[in-house]
Amino acid sequence: MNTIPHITRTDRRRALAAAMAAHGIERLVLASTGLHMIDLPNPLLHLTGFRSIGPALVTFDRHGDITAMVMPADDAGRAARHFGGDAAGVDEATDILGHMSSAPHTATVGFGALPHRLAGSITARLGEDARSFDDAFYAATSPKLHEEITAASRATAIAEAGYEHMKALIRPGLRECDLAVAVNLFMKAQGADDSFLMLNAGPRADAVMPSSERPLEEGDLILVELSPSVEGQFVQICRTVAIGEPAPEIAPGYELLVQAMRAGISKVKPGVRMGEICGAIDDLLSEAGFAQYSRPPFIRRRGHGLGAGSTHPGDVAVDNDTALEAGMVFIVHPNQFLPTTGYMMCGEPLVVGEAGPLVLSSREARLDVVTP
Amino acid sequence: MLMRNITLPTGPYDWHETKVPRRIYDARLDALRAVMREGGLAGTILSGSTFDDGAIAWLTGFTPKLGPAYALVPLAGQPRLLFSGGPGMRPSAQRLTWLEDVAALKSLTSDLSAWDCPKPWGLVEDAGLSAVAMHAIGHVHGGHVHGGMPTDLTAAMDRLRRVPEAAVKPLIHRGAEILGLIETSLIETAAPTRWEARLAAEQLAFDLGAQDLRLRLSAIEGGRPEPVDPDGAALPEQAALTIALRADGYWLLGHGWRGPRRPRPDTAGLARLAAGVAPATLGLGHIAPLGHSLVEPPLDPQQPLAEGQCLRVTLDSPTAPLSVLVEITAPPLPSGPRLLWAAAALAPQQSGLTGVRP
Repeated sequence: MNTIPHITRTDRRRALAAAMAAHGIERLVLASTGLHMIDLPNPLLHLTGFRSIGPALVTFDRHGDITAMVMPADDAGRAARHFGGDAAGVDEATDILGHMSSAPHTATVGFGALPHRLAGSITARLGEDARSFDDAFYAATSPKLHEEITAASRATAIAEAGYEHMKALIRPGLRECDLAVAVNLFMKAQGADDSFLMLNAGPRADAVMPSSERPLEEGDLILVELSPSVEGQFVQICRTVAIGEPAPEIAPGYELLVQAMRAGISKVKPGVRMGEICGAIDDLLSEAGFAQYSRPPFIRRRGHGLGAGSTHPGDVAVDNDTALEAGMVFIVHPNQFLPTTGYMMCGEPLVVGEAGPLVLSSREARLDVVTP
Repeated sequence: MLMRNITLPTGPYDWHETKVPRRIYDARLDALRAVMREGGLAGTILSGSTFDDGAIAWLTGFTPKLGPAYALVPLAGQPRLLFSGGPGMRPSAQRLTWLEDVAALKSLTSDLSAWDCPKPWGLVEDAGLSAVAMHAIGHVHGGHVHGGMPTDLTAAMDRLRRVPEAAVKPLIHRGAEILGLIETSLIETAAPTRWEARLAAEQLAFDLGAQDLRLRLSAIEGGRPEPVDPDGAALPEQAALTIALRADGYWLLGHGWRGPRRPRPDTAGLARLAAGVAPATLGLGHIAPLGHSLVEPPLDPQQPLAEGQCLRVTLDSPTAPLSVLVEITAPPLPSGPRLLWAAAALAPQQSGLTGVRP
């Protein structure tokens, strides 16, 4: 039976405390920029579940005690309720310094993304031995919590509903951006708290990208990646839709991508390197004669981690040596430019189970055709 | 003003060549180059991010959406725009800027190393410029004979951006009009939950041509507004509204109020807003320019206001702040400065402005 470990936030904190002990770290300072992006790690959110409005810091010691400093100041009450204790609120980033003190055996996480003046000032305050703990932090806390996987499942259902809604709205003359807004708002009405939606169309595309004001036309292929989040947990599905009967070479090209995706997903199980998943996809496409299109600039990655603060295990890329663990969540998407078809997209989010992949979407990608 | 971001804004274009004439950008580029010449600089890096893109959007029209962007401006020759995204996404960036040299950012270090521009350089920082990016800039700049970090031109750029040109005023006025309509929708909404009120406001904003809408609907806790995460709860009867929207590249932000018991801020200084008057003498709250950044720095309280400036004045009160947006005139109009938008909770007679809401 293929199962997923039931991990709680307490488990994650214990795992982190153990990693700190192994590295001789007594205190961690974790930073959030306040930006919530699909591919921007947010260690503060990952550890605590708190989504800050602006830059924020928490300190976490090996005994599990947490203190928080948030911006703006009027968010301190919300933070205090979340953390079950005091939280300091400040309006100026430099005021955070008043709440920081030097302590031996302190390390930092997420400081590389902080505004440089703030990062520099805090690092100076923490003391010379404060060092980055980013890699060890994400490695120790990579598997998703039970509550995060539940949110990811819900987000995937919303993405699939959004896709069906999108197909129902498609008509020649509708601008890409208006379709994107409608799909975004629909998914939010279904319970998504944010959405990263790239959608573009044309008779032949080189890539997916943010929507334009171009009206849809019969003969277009619509490329779309729907990435809603629930409780901050982003997922993604990648799809391709033809408006009207597609050219003869489109369907076999798309079927090749779906086969490549299946080849990649079939490799997923604990202990496998991420690079092997990418390799399985590349091999299939190379055997079909598209080896030269399976490397930059045509392709950079075949998927990526998904999360609410951590994108570990990183990219589905040949040079990613991260070994999979049960409970990791990521998407496999071969999304590929083929000389015969242009760029097309297919991709499914999954959880790594104890015995293999558990795909979160209920229906595998296929080339859908909308008749105008 | 900190507002929770949207991970990827969607909607109509935030820049179009027909809305801001090319001559405006030529003049802005000339102004930046004059600053560079004065400082003996051969090139300048402008940084922009999803946190703050005020300077890069002002100069190039481009607003970063997928991550940081950089404009590399030589003293002579074509500026280059580097955007976050794959090379195949170039068309989506190219159509949102007047710059012709547009390329995907590979890595900041390699892109700066490949820039064929002599040193020394200047740097215009955005408020979100990361520690990693700053390290890369210092590494490339400091690795040559001039050494050290680029000259910081951020304050000089802020001064250049402070007074919008007459040609772009209609864009700001339109944004203020949309702000008023969003505020009205949130005051009058019958939506059963905060979340539904928010979605209706988003739909309205996009329908009116805005590209980004960020809201804080704060309940009053202990007599003060406190942010509440969007959820299924009902919109409070008394709520502080903070509305930020971006239309045609300009951010309009205002503090409003929903509910019968209105905040009563001190507004006496509003009617005295005029060119030549220093903010410190007005007794008003936070005064910041309207521009391309949501986090525009406040004005120097000792520096006199200039004719043509468009400003947000945030009036403090014990309950919740309220805002007005004004355009500075010299001499003041009989009704005071030109009012672009005022929180509906500010009755004209209370605001000190005899004009009515536009």
